[in-house]
Amino acid sequence: MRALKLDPAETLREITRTLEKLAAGTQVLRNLGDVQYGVTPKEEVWRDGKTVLYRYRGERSPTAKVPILVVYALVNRPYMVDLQEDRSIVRNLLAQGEDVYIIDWGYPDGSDRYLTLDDYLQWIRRCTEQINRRHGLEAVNLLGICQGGALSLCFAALYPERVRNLITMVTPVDFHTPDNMLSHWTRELDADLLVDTLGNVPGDLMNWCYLTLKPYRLNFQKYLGLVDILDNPQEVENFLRMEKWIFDSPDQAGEAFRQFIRDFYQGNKLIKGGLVIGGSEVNLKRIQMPVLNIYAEQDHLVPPASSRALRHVIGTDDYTEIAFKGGHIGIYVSSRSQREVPPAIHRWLAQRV
Amino acid sequence: MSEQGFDAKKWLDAWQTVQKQVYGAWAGAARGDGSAQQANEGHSWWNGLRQQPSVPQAEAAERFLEGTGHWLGFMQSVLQSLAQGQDANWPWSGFPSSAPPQWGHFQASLPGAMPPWFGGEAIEAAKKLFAPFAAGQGGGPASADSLWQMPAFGYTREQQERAQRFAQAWQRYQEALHAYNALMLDSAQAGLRRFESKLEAHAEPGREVKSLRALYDLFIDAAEEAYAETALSDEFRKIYGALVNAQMRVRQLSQDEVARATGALGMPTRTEVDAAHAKLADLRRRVARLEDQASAGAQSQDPRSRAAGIPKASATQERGLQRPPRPANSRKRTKANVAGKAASPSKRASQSSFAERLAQAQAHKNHKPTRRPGGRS
Repeated sequence: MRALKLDPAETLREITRTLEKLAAGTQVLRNLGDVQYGVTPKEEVWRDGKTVLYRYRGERSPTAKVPILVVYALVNRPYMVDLQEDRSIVRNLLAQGEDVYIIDWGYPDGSDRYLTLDDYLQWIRRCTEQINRRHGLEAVNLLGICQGGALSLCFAALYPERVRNLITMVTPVDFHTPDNMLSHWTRELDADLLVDTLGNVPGDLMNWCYLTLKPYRLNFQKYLGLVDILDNPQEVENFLRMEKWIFDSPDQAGEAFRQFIRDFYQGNKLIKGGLVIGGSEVNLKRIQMPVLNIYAEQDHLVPPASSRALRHVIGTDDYTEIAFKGGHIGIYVSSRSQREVPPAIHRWLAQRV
Repeated sequence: MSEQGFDAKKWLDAWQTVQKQVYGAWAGAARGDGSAQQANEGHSWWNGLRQQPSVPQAEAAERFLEGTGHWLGFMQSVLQSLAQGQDANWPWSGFPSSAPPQWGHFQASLPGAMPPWFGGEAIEAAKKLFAPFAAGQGGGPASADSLWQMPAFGYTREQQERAQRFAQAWQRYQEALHAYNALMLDSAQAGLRRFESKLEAHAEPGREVKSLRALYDLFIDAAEEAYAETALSDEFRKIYGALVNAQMRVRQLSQDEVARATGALGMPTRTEVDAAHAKLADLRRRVARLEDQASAGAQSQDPRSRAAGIPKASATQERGLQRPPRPANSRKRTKANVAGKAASPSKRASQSSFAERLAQAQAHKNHKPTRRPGGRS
């Protein structure tokens, strides 16, 4: 085989460069302080236990009459949408004149072990009420992201009168597409045994699952990539900020996790039917408000086909789909995302005032 | 190689020295002790690093060490191959099928078994207990199985049965772990075969791999492809599920034993704490409903709504009563609530506290609907 053409001198230089960067990296890391994240000023509007509703403050007053309520996933922290100044979906929505609220679910502890999906939906409902009261409205624009998108779909189906326009981003809808590795892994799990044993499901366990979706890239190759930027403190800081978010995963409230695994991942009831939350059946046909569905073409967590299934299961005639060229993380933080996603949301909403 | 002036053996030695120094520096950075010049022998740095208290950047440094260590291991494998085959033609041919033992060590560092989500003294005791069976001294798993199924007698029969159940669960876990690791090994080998295929595709003039980094990236691509194929297979799904379930069973049984031991000492058990948390969750819901009702009453007189010319939401809308009706089978109790001896959500909905009844009576008096928010009347 003549596939390798390693020039000895160049190979040696490559190794030396890597080791030099590693050595220099100790200084870079030592001189970096704690990384900051969540850059846009926000005020607390309402709180119930660990759940907090915030309103972001832009550099100018919002021009939009109907605010956007961001519903983020339970499995990660919501500051991903406002990670840093030049990587902030929120900041760019505000710049477009939107008025943005967000729900922070906090970090569940043992006392939250019996929180159900209905408890989370009730928090969404109360947050919409708070916003409605402040603005004299009857309904808000809902922006559900990832698992928060699935919760938003349930909410919009159960409380359609409270949602003026629904936007879903990288949201799983059909959990049984053939390329959905996470879903594949959950099928044989005994969710009852798991939750009865663990109580709350540790964030570290969740992270382990995510890392093992692409174990070689995410455990090894990614950190080798860090070598390339070790002499650039700014880039290292960006890397560490992302690293912080990735591993800053809240534990999952046991009962909500049990239902999400059983009914969504295993039963695929969101589209098959039979999903009951808080005693009421979730029927996506009741979603008749305008819907904008944004998915990522290279999403390894929520396959595009899983998101695109939404088109066929909701009741609205006003359905728009946007494909983002990137992955599940890139849709929040890439420069392309900052250029494309917030303006697209703003334009779509502006056409539906 | 040597005719091109490249003494791989010499450079390998030099590289290993530098590698130790660099790792020493990184370990120091992770500890935050500033001892960048501290060199460590072997991999003692690793254990030292893990035992240090957490300092800023330590976690990132640890992960970084793991990731770059993988690549450095890769480089070491290649260089050692070069060192051992100095008389061979350059570029090195036959890689990776002719790779030396070091390559095997490198492979062994790849993702394998998931970490068990349990631990503690019970697990250590189990390992000691089952060591003879694992080593083949106890007559093998079949013999162990029959031992765990023997009838128990006497004053300690309950304890014996619990110990037997735990032993069986532990054995099932070991079997599941073995099956998982075997599948991962197959996947790693499939990754190597793919790697070889990818290298062959680079044999054409002009497409050769010209750097270790490119070689490494090619290896990662191959390994990920093979892993994905395995991870999406039905076989993996079954083995993975069996492993997680077996882990949970072991953990559950060990937790039971811990609860018995602590309960005997008069300490609160997890069951008791869970029951308290279940009641707390129930109380929170009741309070939230009362707050909703109070808030709905206040809003009906909210001057801002009238000033804004917004039609007052009907009580039905305000309380979310446009929610679809509850399906007939929704009164089934959840397992958690059965375990926690707490009322299920649906059962809870049919109960009403004093405060709720008071609120309902007040609402009735005011000619308002008495159904609770969320349509759960």
